[in-house]
Formats: sequence, structure tokens, C-alpha cells
Amino acid sequence: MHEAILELNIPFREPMVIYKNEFRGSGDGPLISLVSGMHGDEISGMYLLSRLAAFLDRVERGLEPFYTLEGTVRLIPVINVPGVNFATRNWPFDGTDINRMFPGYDLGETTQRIADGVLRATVDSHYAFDVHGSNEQFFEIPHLRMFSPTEEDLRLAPYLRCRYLLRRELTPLYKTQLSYHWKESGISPYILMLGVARRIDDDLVETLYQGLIDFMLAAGVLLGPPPAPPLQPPSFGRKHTHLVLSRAAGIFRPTAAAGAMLRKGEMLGQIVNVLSGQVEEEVRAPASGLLASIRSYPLVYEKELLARLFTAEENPSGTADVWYQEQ
Amino acid sequence: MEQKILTIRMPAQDQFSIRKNVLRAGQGKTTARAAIVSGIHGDELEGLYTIYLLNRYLQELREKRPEVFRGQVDFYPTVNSLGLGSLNRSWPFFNVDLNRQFPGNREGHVPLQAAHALLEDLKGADLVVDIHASNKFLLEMPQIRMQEVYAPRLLPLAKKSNVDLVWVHCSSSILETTLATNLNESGIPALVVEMGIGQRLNPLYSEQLLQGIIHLLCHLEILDLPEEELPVLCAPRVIGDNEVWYFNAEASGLFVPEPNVFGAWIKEGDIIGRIVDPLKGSDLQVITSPRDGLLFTLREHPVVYEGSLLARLVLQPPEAEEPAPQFRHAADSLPVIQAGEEARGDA
Repeated sequence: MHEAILELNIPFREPMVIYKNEFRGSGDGPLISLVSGMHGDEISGMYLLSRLAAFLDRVERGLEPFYTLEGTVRLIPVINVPGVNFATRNWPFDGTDINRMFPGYDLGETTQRIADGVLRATVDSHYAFDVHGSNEQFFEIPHLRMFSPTEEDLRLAPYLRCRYLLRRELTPLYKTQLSYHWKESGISPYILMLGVARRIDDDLVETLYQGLIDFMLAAGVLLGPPPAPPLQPPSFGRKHTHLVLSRAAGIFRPTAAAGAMLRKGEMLGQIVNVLSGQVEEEVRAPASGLLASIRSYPLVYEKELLARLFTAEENPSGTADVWYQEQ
Repeated sequence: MEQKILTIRMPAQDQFSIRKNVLRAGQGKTTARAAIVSGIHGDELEGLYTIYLLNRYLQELREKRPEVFRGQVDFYPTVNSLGLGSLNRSWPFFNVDLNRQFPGNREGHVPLQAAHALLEDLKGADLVVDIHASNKFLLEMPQIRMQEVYAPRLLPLAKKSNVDLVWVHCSSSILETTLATNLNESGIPALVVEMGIGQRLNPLYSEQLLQGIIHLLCHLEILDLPEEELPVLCAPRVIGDNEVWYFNAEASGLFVPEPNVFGAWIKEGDIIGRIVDPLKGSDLQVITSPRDGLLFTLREHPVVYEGSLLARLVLQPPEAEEPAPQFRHAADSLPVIQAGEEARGDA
């Protein structure tokens, strides 16, 4: 069922509408909300939600005979509507990052009203997913970010087929983000990160599509054939993180792919001097572990983040924050 | 003496530095050290001119009357020089707000390093004044904003700063990553000045603030000027959050303010402006004031969305019958200002 959750007048144009597409099951199963398109350039998440919509539509029509919907699935695929239409990450008029405007305010600035509308439209959920890509500069293998997960959260998380789980502390740093307010409202929040901004990675979307169907089966939202056996993903925090920073400035050419298991000292890529073409730096893995993300935009300043690596053993020098705030 | 606090190599074979200028007393031990910072946001220019004025004033003083200049003043006018040079509020390439990167990190990406280098360099200062303009949407009367938790220490300093208003607001975790909060938290008093508008210059505001900073430098004994030489200060009105009235747009369209409302005392029922619809030739909203007060913020960028901030009013204190005399600037004393593009938000 398509329904507007928020309508805002846009200067000199037709009003902007944020829609939800809600599928209500016959039983009294839990309510799961999934949002994407908070950043207008994160397209894989929107495509993932559109795949789910098509699947749930088939379930509703009886075209997926093995599945029935017990609970309710609420999809809000596009929050930053003009951002998507203009291909900009932030709110196009004033550059605001909508994911820094929560909990929002219904009488405030435009983006505060949007934040307020989205939170109100999801606050009755049992489970809630905020699906993001990375920004344009970084490729991330699919992973889950969670604030102090409960045992039940951890039971369900492995069905998603994410490569790892990042544990976050509920610090003030995240106070203006949607998932923080879900957590505060007693909802189990899941932040799904996949790929890189401005493009669709079909393999990632397919994996998470299957993962979300299995999650809904395990959570009792959906009835159907038993889900695939859950893949217990490794879980990392700040102490297991290595940030790889550039020492030179120039053109970065990666030689390792995100998702690879690397040995300490293995090559990650090279930085080439623009003028001379000489290799200024050979970038190597600082430890053995999982190469979780790697820079996709080729030009780099010195001391810039090139890759993020997770190790099983603790990193004694892991004092830097796991993520830059803007990611 | 010009110094570089950070130099960074960039991809296309070039580099940039964050530069400061140190003015120190010619002889003897310096009494105290003040630092004036601006240009953390690349679209804010009011502080650059203020620093120019103060720099010139102090150099002249040091030359002609070296005995009255007894301390040290450090100038950091263009912290985000890449943003300033490319009309970006944020740090270009990384697209982050530098004033949300503090305390920074020596081993982080460039904006984090910049934050770290600046904070390190400011250590040991006895006072920091961080001058911001507003964003490019809103015109602001000269004011100092502070979180109430730091008010006991900052308020006496702010009252000497010759601004029109001191806004003591509720403490906020959103501000934890700003320069001023990090300084105040570590015991270095830091005043945040907001005045004017992004991407433009109001020279009169810089001159007004200059008088205040001279007072602050005397207070710190960096300057030893006789009382009669000091500029006459205007006491600012100190306001709390509950004394500010916000006007948010109820319609989307073109906002056209009434002439001469900025910096003026508004009566209940007065029209502040209109939001008009060019297509239909009709008014979408006529904004009238529900209260008496001083209009200290006014939107200069005419395109508004539903919810856009149009103006702010300081409500008249209940006991005051007449407008308080300390507010001096009427809108007609200001140059015409146009707004640019992108970004919003306070310091």
C-alpha cells in the first residue's frame, strides 16, 4: 500500500512527497521498517528495497506460494527525494546531511521536518533497518553496524549474510542519527552498509536481498521455507581496527580487493607521483586480517584513509576512532 | 612573524599550509597571549577583515608606543584556506565541516590533522576569539554565543567585547566537536562571535568588534592603554533561549522582507515580510510579529522552503518600556548583501 508519510511544499514546484510502501500480513507478526535514500547518492540500498517490494508484492498476490506474510513490512526507499533526483548526497538546497538532523522538529527547518516525519513513521517498529552505501570515496563490503546489540539482535543478525558486525558504543557522536533514536525508542536498529555511493553492485544487493528475506523468516515477519543456516559474522570494535593512511600524495592504485584476507606486509596498492609517474609509496597491510574497505576515489592527499582492516588480535595502537564521522 | 602550523602535500603536486602571524612585544617578558581565529568555515569572511584591522592597529601601536604593547597576539585568519579560495563552507575534497572535527587527530585525514594542529597551537593561550560569520542565508547582528556551562567564565569577557547580544544557550552534544568547546573544556576561554552573513563583508561590524577586542587585550594586560584612550563600550544584552522568538516559513516561495526591519524594534502586529508566489501573483504568507522585540536575525537569501528560518526576534524584557539604547545598527547603515549557495547552520 503506497501512502505518503510526509508532504512538503517545494518552492516553485510540485510538492515533495516521501512515500512508504507497506505490506500488511494476515497474522500478528512483528513490524519491520526499512529505510534508504537518506543520502541521495546511495543507490544500492534503494535498489535493495525495490527488490524487496517486488518480492512482497508477489507474496501478496500469491505468486510466491511458499511464503506468507505474518507481520508488516514498511519500506521507505527514498528520504532525500530531491537529493536522489539531483544526484546529490545531502539536501540539495542548503547542503544539510539529513542523518545529522534527528530526532528532528516538525516546526523547524525543512530537513528537521523530514527527520521528524521519518522517525514518526517508523517509531512503532519492532525492527528497523537504515540502509546506506558508503560515500563515493570508499568501497565497503556489506556489514552491519549495531549499538550495544541485545541477545535477540545477535541471534537474528547472522541471517543477513553480512561479512562482519561492527559494534558501536552509543556515544553522543551519533546522537543526531536516525538509528540512535530508534535505539532510544526501544527498537532494534540495524545499519546496513554496502558498496559505494553512486552505483549499484548487483552481487551485494542479491546477497542482502536473500539475507533480509531470511531475517524476516527468522524474526517471524514472514512464514516460509526454513532460512539458510546463519553465517556467524565476526564482530569487531575499535580495538580490532587498523586504519591505513597514505604517507604520500598522488594517484592511488589499489592492488587488493575489499573482502580479501591479507597477511601482514602484503601489498594493498601504490601511490604514484602525478608529475614523474614514479611510485612514491607502496602501501602494505599493517597487520593480518580482513580488508573491510578500500578507497575507490583515486586521488589522495597525504595521511588520508586508504583502507580499513580488522584483525582478530587486539591492535595496541588502535586509538583512532573506527570511522570518520562523515562516513 | 609568519609561521606555518601545518603543511600538507596535495595530489596534484602542490601543497598548502595553515598560516598564522605572531605579534609579540618587542622587549621583556610577554604578559599574556591572545589568539584570534577566523575562516574555519570557508564562506565566512567577517573575521578576516577584523583580523586585518586589529593586526594593523597593533603593529602601528607597537611601532609608535612600544611600551603599551606588552603581550602576544596570534592571528589565524584563514584556517580553511582551501574552502575560502573555492567558496566552500566545508573543507573541499573531503567535504566536511572543519568545526565538527575537533579535537582532531595527528594521524587522520587532512581536516582532522588541521583541527589537531590548530588546537595544539592554541594551547597556552589565555584567550581565543573565534570569529564566525553567519551562513550565506541569514544576516546576524554582532553577537557572542556560548553554552551555559561555560558562562560563568566567559560572560565577563563577552560583556567587554562590544557585541550587541550575548546568547547563552543550552549545552548541546552537537557542539562537542567544535573548536570553542574543546578549548573551553580544556580551560582556555574561547569566545565565539557570530556576525554578518556568509560570503559577504560588513566592515562596520568588524570595526565594532575591533573596539571590543582592544578592551579584551587591555583586560589581559597585553595592552596597557590609559582608560581615557579606550573606546566606549556598549553593554550587550544577555539573552537565554527562552527570550528568542523564531520565525519559520509556513510556505515555500520567495521571501521578501519589509525594508528596515533588520536591527529594528518590531511591534506586535508589524509585518516583517512576505512569501510570494510569482506564478500566481499572490502572497503565500504575510509574516507578522506576534510580539514586541528586536529583530537580530534576518534571512537574506530569498528562496525559502517550508520551515526555512526567516528571522529571529529578541523579545523585549518585560520591565522595559522603551527600546534599550545599546542596539545601534539600523538596516540602512549596512551594505546590500547577497547570498550565495550551499550549506547552513551556525558555527
